[in-house]
Amino acid sequence: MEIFGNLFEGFQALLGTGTIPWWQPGIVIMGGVLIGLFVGVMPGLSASTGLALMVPFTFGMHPMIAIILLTSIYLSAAYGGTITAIAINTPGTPAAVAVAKDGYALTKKGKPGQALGASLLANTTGGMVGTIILIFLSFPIAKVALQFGPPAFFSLAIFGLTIVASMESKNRLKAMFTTALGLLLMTVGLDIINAHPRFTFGNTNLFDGFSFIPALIGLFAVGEILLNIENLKEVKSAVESFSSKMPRLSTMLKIKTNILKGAGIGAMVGAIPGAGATIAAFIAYGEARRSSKHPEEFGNGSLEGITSPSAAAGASAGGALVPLLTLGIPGSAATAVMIGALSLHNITPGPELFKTNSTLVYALFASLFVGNLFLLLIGMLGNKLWVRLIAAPKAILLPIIIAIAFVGSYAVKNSMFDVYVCLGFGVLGWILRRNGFPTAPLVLAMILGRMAETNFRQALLSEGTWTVFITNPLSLGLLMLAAISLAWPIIQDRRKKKKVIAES
Amino acid sequence: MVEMKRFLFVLTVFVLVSATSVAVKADFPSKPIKIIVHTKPGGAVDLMARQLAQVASKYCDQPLVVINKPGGSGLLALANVYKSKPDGHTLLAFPAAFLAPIQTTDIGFDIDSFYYIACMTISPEVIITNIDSDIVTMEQILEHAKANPGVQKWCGPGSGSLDHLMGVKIWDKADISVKWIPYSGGGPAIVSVMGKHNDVYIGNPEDILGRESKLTIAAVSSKERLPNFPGTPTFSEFGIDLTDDVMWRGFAVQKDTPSETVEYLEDLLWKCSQDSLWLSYVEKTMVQGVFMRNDEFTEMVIRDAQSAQKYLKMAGFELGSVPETAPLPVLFFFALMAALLAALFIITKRKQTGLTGTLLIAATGLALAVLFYYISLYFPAPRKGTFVGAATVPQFWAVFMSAMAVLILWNNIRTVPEGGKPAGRVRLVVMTIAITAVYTVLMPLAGFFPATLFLLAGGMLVLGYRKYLVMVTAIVIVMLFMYFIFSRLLMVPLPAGILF
Repeated sequence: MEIFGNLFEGFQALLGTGTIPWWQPGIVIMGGVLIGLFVGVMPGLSASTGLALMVPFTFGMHPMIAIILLTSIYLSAAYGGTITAIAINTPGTPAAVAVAKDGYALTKKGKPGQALGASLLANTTGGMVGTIILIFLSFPIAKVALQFGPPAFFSLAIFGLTIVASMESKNRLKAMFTTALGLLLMTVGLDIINAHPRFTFGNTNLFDGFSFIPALIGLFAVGEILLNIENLKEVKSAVESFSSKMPRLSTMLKIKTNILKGAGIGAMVGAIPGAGATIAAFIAYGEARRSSKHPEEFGNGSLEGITSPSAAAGASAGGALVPLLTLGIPGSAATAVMIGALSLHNITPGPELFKTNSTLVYALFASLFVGNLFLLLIGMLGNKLWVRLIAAPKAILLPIIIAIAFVGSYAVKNSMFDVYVCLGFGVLGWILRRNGFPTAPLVLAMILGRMAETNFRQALLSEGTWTVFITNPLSLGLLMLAAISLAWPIIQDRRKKKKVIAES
Repeated sequence: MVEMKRFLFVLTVFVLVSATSVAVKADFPSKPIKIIVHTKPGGAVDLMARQLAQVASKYCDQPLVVINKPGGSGLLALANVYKSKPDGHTLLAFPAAFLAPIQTTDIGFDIDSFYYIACMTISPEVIITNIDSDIVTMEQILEHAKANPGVQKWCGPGSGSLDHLMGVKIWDKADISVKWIPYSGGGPAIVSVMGKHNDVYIGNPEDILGRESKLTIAAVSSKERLPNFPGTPTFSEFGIDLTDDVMWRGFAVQKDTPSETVEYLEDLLWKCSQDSLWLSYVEKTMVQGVFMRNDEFTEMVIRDAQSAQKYLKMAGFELGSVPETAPLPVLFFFALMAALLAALFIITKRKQTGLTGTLLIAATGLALAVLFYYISLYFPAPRKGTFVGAATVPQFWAVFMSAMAVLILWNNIRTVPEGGKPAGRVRLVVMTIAITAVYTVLMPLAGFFPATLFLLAGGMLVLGYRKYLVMVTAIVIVMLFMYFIFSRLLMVPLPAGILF
């Protein structure tokens, strides 16, 4: 197999080449993983912002060093986002919203170590699986990814929205309400087809709609803090000590199919340009609940509910590199920045790269493996630290998180308006949550709302008929998946109720 | 005490002296020069500006710092420079893409609100097709379009964008009729041509870099064939008169900037344009490095702006007229809210169920959905040939949301709320929100760090923390951390404040 030979060369290159000293790649990967963890942990700094801010530093580097630095940052940002999601219910990255539900539930039970450990193991396993898929299947996957036209993207967005049904089984009506609110809020801004300003009240800051990241930070970070303050010192009896104990390996092995499935979903969805890690994580969560033997545990700290989206988020990094390397097109905002950075090194990502500079490509693959191993190591070392952080006095911790949330919101676009958006959504999140309205569907709707509308209208523009969503096979398949994903959790719950009644 | 006084005296003198020295010193630049960029970090214009900043630092005593102000199709970046002090320390990376949004929006400034220092790169407009499709060459495009009017699908970033207007121009001059499918950016549009969902992409030569195995350039809008693509014909070879359509990128400042400063900047940019590092960057990105001075650049800006105006109209944009909007939306919303609340109040009183938060949220949601529906009634009707307009999707979601809100109201209004969780320390929450609100107001006035000090100290005190030593230590660590990470490492331009 030629691939193995190439891969071996790739690993060799990580131990230095003629122009690169032996210690440099290792240090760079380690540094990249740390930077990635940091931007992931900080709400407001996403992988793409982190990468973009690092681009000027890569100008003077050897191209190979530059590319492995950027990929190391990229692959570790996903786990960084889940740390804060689990520890303080403040997802550092959008994809971590799917992990927050069960992860934070476990933390509230006093077992953040379990949640963090499970997420870390699933994330890095997902990263490895994603890399293997990237190496062996990237060309066939890219072919499928290109089949996604406007009708299929619309149906994918609808499918994504139906995950709400399995995420929020306790209060479906309220969840549908917040979904609708998110969808409606996403119509604010210049309409993509006619460039007509909608619901902007003449404010240019709203021309692009509400910035997603500040809204996310507001809903989760600020909203969560306000809830925390409301309950300050009143739930003293609940949990006072947090355990940093990681889950046993045997427990993890029991749910290995769940992790592998999550990773598969992550790599596939991540490879579709424009879909990305967040949608992958939500779909993985929905599928995990559907196929689980204990669906009733979801939402109350189910390990499967943590590992599946974590594995998907980890694997989607490899997935997003598929269109980059096989077609030369970015699969996500972060990979778009990578293309820009690489072009300055005279490297144009694309299929030609396998021929002209295969060492570089395989060094990149090898660095993904090594990066995931480093991530696992650093994550395990950091586990105790995170848990100690949660135990810090809330009166100190909460104002600090607010300050970080606001500076993060500002840094997205260097805009004061986004700071106001963050505050507004923070108050909204608090009001909604204290009345039992879940906010995760609102976030999901904000991610998918524009994708749904844009592709809906593009499809109608180009085909001129409503039937296109059914006649396009990909679109039809996704719509059928959407129907299943909407109905299944409801049927599951009905069955369980009947069982309970029969037993009693 | 004496020591202290002396120290204060020295400090005052020092501040005064340094302040006057700045005022007296006429030479420019006296502080770092900001380059405002309208894209997020990593975009093509951003990378150009960053490269320029790096090159320019060789020829300038002060560093050049790129600051991203994305949003509103570039209007936020334009507004930022328009409102900046005209002292030359705020440079705007000005791409041709700005011409359409400036002219379609009534925003208080125009293309003559800026002084165009120099144009640094140009790139011809091209049309790109998929090698494996049936429509590849310009001949095939024209033949197919003439035989099947309104069938071919052309795509590119946005509506009324530079590339869209280029399309309108081509269709007009070639006398063909096709569909325009706008995308949120160039990237997704190229992908759609690679996946054969669309036939033609309008862009620039660099768009096919790395994708040569799938994409090809059908025609280019230059006078001569491009040296890099000798096999690619020009539009004029097909009798389509498109020769000076280029996508240019240059730099501009506020128009009131003093002439000596402008001369300095022009000289600085000229030195950069001759620098070998800059030239190698330009070559890599496949654009053409040029240096057009103010007169030539301004002439091009005005010419292209006029042409944009003509083709914007042809594309169906109404310029100069204020579009009709829904009258008194805010009043409408509050009237609706008042009516809903009154109804809820009466019903819950009669049923003795109590006005719960759930009911209030559902009622507000219902009013919001109706408001959105009301505003959307005044959106322009769908364009000719399309049957879904700007209002369709918002109206659909608004109906969906109203339905959910009504269901929640219906379910909750008749039942007495369960005991549930009692309200917690709401007063504490309201105080925190108030502190945070003051913080957001304070930030642009007093500057980021004083405001953050207020937030941290105020928040901790309100939450009842009284171990002052721990508090001070924590605040100092957090502020230092933010300073080094955001200000120094990531160079985020945190608000400096206007009071001090």
